[in-house]
Amino acid sequence: MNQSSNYIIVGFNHKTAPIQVRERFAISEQALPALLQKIKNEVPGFSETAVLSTCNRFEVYGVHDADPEKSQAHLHHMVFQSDQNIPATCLYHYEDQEAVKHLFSVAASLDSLVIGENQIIKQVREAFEMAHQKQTTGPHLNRLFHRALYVAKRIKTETGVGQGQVSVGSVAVLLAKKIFGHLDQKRILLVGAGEIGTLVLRHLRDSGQAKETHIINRHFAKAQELAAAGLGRAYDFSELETQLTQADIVITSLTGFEPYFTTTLMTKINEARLGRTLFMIDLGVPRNIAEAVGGLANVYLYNIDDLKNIAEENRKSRQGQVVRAQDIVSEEAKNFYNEHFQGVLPTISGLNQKFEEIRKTEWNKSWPKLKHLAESDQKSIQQLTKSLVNKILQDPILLLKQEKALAEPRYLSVIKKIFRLDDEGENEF
Amino acid sequence: MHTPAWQIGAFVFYVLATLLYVLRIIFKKPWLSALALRLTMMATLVSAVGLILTYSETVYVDLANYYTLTALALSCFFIVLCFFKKFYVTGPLFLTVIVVLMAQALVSSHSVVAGSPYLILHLMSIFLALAIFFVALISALFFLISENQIKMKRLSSWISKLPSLEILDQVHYKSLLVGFFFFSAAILLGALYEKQVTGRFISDDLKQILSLVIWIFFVLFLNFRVRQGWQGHKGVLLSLIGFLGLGFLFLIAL
Repeated sequence: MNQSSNYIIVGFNHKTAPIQVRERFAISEQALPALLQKIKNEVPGFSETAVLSTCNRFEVYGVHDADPEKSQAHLHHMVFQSDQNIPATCLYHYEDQEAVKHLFSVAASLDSLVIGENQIIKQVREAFEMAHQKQTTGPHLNRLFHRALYVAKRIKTETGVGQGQVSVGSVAVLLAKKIFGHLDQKRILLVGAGEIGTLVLRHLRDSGQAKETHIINRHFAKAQELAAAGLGRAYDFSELETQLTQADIVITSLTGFEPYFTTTLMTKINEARLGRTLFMIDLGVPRNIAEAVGGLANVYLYNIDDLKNIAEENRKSRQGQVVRAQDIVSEEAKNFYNEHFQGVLPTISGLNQKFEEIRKTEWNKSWPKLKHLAESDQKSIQQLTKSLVNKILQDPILLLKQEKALAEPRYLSVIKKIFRLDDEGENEF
Repeated sequence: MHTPAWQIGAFVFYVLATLLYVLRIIFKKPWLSALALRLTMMATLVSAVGLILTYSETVYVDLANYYTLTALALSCFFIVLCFFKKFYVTGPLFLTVIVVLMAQALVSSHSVVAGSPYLILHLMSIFLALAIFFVALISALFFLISENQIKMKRLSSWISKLPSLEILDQVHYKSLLVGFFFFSAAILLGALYEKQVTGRFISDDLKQILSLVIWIFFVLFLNFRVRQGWQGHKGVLLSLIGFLGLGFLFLIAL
């Protein structure tokens, strides 16, 4: 492992940890500040930290200025194994450019359970704001999170990853908005108290703050039950025609072998509506609404398969855009990392190369005198020279990576002059 | 009379705005439509100030100015729609028509002909009515395309950029109402001008008869729309008959 790595991420997500593990680790918003402070103060070498905690992931982001292995081990013990004992197989860790790339993918919703969902960008922003507010971030994490939010926005604009709805409920909302624009003045009527119908009703009600939601069921008690749960007002089945005349969106999920909403019935209702637009969502199997109803003027009819097909097409379209989005993530991560260590990386690489050449030259000079030693002793001495070089370079390289001021060309030029890094072929001072 | 500099300036701004709207749709960069809208606003301001200054000197019959006035009315409508609704997709269409009108204004002669105030107001009203009816026509066409896609259960990404059906229907209806007001004013002022010239309010001129027929059609249509619920699909389709008549009227009037 690289002794001078900088960014570090340790955590688990929906891909690595089952729900039983994830739900054990749910952390309330109130408990987060204390955890942030604890990580920053107690994990050795952690100079900055932020925590992203959602229902699908828990990740600790950090910037370390010591041995990353030690930091990781301490973090594992303190956060993931002290109380909850998260299995090590559920955890992953990323460092440096891989860590940058991971956060960019997370923020752009490429690592989400539903790729392209919009919630994650808000959650990343909130995680950063919380850490920033509690002063556990610094220049490195500030830059990283700002860039991650920028990359997420760029991907959303330039690719179709976030476009299109991928669940039946959200497709219904999309269609309703496509027909009506705003749903705040609309009446929604649920006919039948099935589970999926209730789910779609919730989606529509929550997304548009519908003016009124009404429920009609063959068994009035069930409609009352849903009304008591705050889903709307219950009506007797005998009032169906009156309610149909007044509703803007009708969701049906009745059981029966023949379509209840025949063309004759709906033509009569449509005439009484005086041309007002009606969006009908038929979730019943077999279908509750005759297909020809969709041909009536100002009536827009979608059944469960239509909604599923649209959701599936959107899902495929998102998948098609993922490769493009991942290319953007890789490009941005590389650029960010190079910018972050602009000029520093070539100097570090030059220092490593120079010291390695010196080590090899000196070893080659001494080797004839050490020939008589056993092979294992020779290997030990060679290992010793390597360790010496690493130890000598460890602190200067860490300093170069952490102190932004040192990345200025004048300082880098002094370092290059002192160690004669620009002189090719010269191995000695 | 030479073409005024403000008319050339407004034309250039409109052309640039049209290009930016086209680029916005191709490259999907929101800043392009934001810039295009600003250019449209600048062109509108230049046209408005230019026309006010021109008419403050003398009121005369000048076809070039009527084209500019129509373009001005259209761009005002378009700006309002862009601010309140999701209408940038219609930008290239609106702006192309505005550019054609402005080009027509530039090539038309700026001959100063003194005319009756009735004639001047009649021409102004007719050009304004045409501009506003054009907004209604665009909304109607987008409504039909969008509705067809929803009925056929094909939701292309292009359709998702358009406003909702209800908004398109509202814009269609409201622009019909405003356009009808100016059209009525144009017919009334035309009749007064006819009376001044020939002593009769109406002659057997095909243009005048057709104008009255179209006016009656719109009276009936707007009335039935409210009373019989001829909104949405039916209303939009029927209004196309009126637009067809208006197009024919415009052709024979030229």
